[in-house]
Amino acid sequence: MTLHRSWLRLLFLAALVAATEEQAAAQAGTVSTARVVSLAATKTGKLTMGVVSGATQTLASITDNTTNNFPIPVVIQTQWDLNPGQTGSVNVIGWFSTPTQALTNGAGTNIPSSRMKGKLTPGAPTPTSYPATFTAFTQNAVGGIGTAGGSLRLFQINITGANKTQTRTDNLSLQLDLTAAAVLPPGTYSGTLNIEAVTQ
Amino acid sequence: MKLPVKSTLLGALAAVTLGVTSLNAQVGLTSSLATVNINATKSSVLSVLINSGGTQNLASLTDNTTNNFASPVNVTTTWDLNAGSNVVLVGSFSTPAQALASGTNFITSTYVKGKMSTGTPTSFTAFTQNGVGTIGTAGGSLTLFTQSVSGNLANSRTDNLDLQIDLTGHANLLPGTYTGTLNLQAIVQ
Repeated sequence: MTLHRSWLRLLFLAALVAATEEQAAAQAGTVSTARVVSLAATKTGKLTMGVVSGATQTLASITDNTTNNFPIPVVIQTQWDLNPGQTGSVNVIGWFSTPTQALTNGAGTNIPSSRMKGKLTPGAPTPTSYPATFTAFTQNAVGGIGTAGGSLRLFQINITGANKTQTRTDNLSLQLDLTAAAVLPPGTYSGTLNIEAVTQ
Repeated sequence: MKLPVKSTLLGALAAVTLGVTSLNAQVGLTSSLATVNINATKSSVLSVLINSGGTQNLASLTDNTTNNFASPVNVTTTWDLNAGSNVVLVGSFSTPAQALASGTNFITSTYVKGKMSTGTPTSFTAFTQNGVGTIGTAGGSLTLFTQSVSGNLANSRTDNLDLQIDLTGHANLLPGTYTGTLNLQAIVQ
């Protein structure tokens, strides 16, 4: 009786081992459904500009009927990191929000932007275009930046592989040209010149 | 056969569209806004310029009569103002009791007279008035003109000031050279 049971156990174990091996053999080479992981990494273009110095321009004494140069330049720094295949040029625009009132004495007398002039002394490398002589802020907006008749493109520089990443510093000189203008009432005339960069 | 051709064309169109999108991706990128504050001041102007006659000489002074200086003082007054009613030109001697002096002998401003045909004293008038505002001296001044600047805030005018030493009724002067300084100054009122 005891011997018979022992044989039965052995047979059962043998059958169990055999069945397990067969199952294992049957799963070899089985593959799951393919799943995909989408990877996306975006490096956005970068364009910044700031006024390094000369953010407050002061003319202590205006003289009628002549040119009045502001004593120090506005030093502007422009930085970009751009894809030359996606960007044609970098442009820096200066403008007055209300061209007919570029400067005002607060008492009803205004100096229009046509009397305000800018001249750029560029850093290296030389831009594609810039106002090398005093030029009035009477241009139109560029790429949606600026105001109609109250703007001046301070520089345009074409973007290539050679300059796709750059930091540059330029000097903007300002002038109040009252040549042939009506005599201004004495007083202090104040205004804000906006400067912004845009790609095209 | 037609279906593959259409698919190819659509694919090409999609590629072109994607290409355009990619090309323009960085156009219109803007920086932050920077501002420059601009202040320009025009100062008020009020000036007096003596064009000629800055030195007046009387070679021979005669007692007890009027002594006219030979040529007038030609003076230009210029103003550029943002407010005010009048520009007033005043002549004055600092020490009326000693308008002209020769050592310790004096001619008072009472005996010095001025005339401005285009101004206020159109006949010779003594420098015995008071000052105007902060200019001039009490009893030693003469207002030469009062010019309204209403609607005329920036302008100039040129006038001739004739001078006279009127020794009528004055005790005889001791001989000598009598010198003095007449101050001309303008004020806005």
